Amino acid sequence: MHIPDGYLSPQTEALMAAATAPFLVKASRQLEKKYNKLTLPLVGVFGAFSFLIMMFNLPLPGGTTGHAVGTVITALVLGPWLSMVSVTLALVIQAFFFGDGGILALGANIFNMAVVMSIVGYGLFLLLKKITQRESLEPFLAAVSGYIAINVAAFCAGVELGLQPLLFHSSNGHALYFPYPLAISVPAMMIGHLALAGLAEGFITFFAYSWIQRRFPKLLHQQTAANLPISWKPIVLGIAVLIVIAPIGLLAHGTAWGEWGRAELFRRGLSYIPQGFDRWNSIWSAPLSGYNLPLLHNSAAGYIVSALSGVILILAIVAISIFVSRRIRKKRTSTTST
Amino acid sequence: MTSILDKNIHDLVSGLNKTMFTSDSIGKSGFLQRLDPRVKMIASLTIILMASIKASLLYLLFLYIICLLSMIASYLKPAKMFRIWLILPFFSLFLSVPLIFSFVTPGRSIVHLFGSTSITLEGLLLAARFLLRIAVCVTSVQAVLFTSRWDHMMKAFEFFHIPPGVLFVLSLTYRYINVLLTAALDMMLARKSRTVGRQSAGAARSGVGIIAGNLMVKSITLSGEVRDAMVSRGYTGKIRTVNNFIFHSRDVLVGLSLIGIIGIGFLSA
Repeated sequence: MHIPDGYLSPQTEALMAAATAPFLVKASRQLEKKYNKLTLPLVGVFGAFSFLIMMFNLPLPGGTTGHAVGTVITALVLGPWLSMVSVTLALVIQAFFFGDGGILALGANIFNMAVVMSIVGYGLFLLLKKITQRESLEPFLAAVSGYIAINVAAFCAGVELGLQPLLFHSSNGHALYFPYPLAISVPAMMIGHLALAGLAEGFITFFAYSWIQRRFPKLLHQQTAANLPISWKPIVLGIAVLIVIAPIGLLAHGTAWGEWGRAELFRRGLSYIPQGFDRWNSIWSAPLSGYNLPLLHNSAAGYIVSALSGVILILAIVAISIFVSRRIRKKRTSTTST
Repeated sequence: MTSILDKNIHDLVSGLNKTMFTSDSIGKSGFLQRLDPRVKMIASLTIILMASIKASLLYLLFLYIICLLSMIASYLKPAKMFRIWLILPFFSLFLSVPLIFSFVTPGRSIVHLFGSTSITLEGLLLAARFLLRIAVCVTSVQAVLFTSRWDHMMKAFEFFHIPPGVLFVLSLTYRYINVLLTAALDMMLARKSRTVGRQSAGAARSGVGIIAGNLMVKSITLSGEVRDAMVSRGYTGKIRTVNNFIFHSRDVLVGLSLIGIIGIGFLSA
């Protein structure tokens, strides 16, 4: 997943570096708060650990072997912030001293492998742990978190690469950097990670977690028991950023594969429309069809308003479900106590 | 399945060789070896940046020739140079092959293959630009890596005003890669010596996973010990470094040439 130099445009590389910087600043502040200024030796040794874990080969089904990134097991044992910094150090050493991964592409590589994997892996594990509430399932949950986190990171890398021919091309339409569009780059990245690298990450997280849980349970409780308090500020900020960049979807031409409407199907050469398709297709007409609001006369603004409405709607549904489930639980406890 | 242990041992040994033993080309008195590491680093970054900005095929070729000439002038073995070119951009080569065909890049047909498929001029130019750009970026970094000591490179980072704390952690990481590599190698060898007969894939996976977990526990213990050892020697969290690099006339000349390279890049547009 190490993107080399020359695959991404300097503009993308600068943007990815800018997107990564706040996470690293926040991580270094968290570490300073937690370990005071004597934290540096700790971070240095864990950077070496992260470097090394990326060298381990694991046997995979089908007789092949694969490398894991190891970010998720680091995040589960040491916490997401320390994991973010240690994987970053490993990536910097790899780029500058071993020529593995680009120097200008470091921002993108750190974002995918250190930031995204740490946050997704750690967050997902806590969520699954809260839902299942069974200690014996934890190694399995860790493996699932590892598998999903590396695939989310691979998806990010696929999107970063696939956006290049859309955004940066010469006057005759030829790509200036990575030449394959999203329709190729995302599946190409995902197939390898869903089938091989994801399994390697899942296996290493599962076995390392279950071994540490058996032999050094205190290490795990230090981190996951003292869960970081959920701060709403970054979550709200993240959602706001996603809403603002929602119009990026306008860059893609045509309709997503398999999401064609009546007109698109005809354009694609289908000579007739199946009856069932026609009947169910017209049963509901969405208020913000095509994420567009004709009143605004601006498709980008339409996307932003649609994204905002979607977020508000989801929050309202979640709030109502929580309210209803709490009422039901309260009712049940009152009946059992009487 | 002892082969996975052998594969891991092989990889760890080659990693150890890379980190512990400096490249034989560093000791030679070639062009890049005699340059100030700060100048080398700026030159490499400038070349990567210019290769990323400029799309002209001729200019990319010019940059690539500069990289190759400086490697030749630094007495790097041709086999090593060939290996850099062949292995590192191999994936890029694999990616660029479909670009030359008309079904990916339509354009003027040069060689007709079958049906409506042909090799197009536009496709060839696109693949050449993609490959040349990667080759320039890879060779310019590798040229610095093969001719510089890691501690000199680390010191050269100071020139870019990178906070001393970050550099201190980076050099600590580099040093402890050695220590942990040796620990991981010992664990793998110990496991291999205890393994008799064939091992199932599941057992092999669990073995590697346990070694990874054990390595993490070792790192936690080690990091505490390193911190305590440093504090007992007077470490208070403040970093002090010594800088003894001196600029020579050849460094100034290379600096001026870099300005020329940038100038040619912008004039060629």
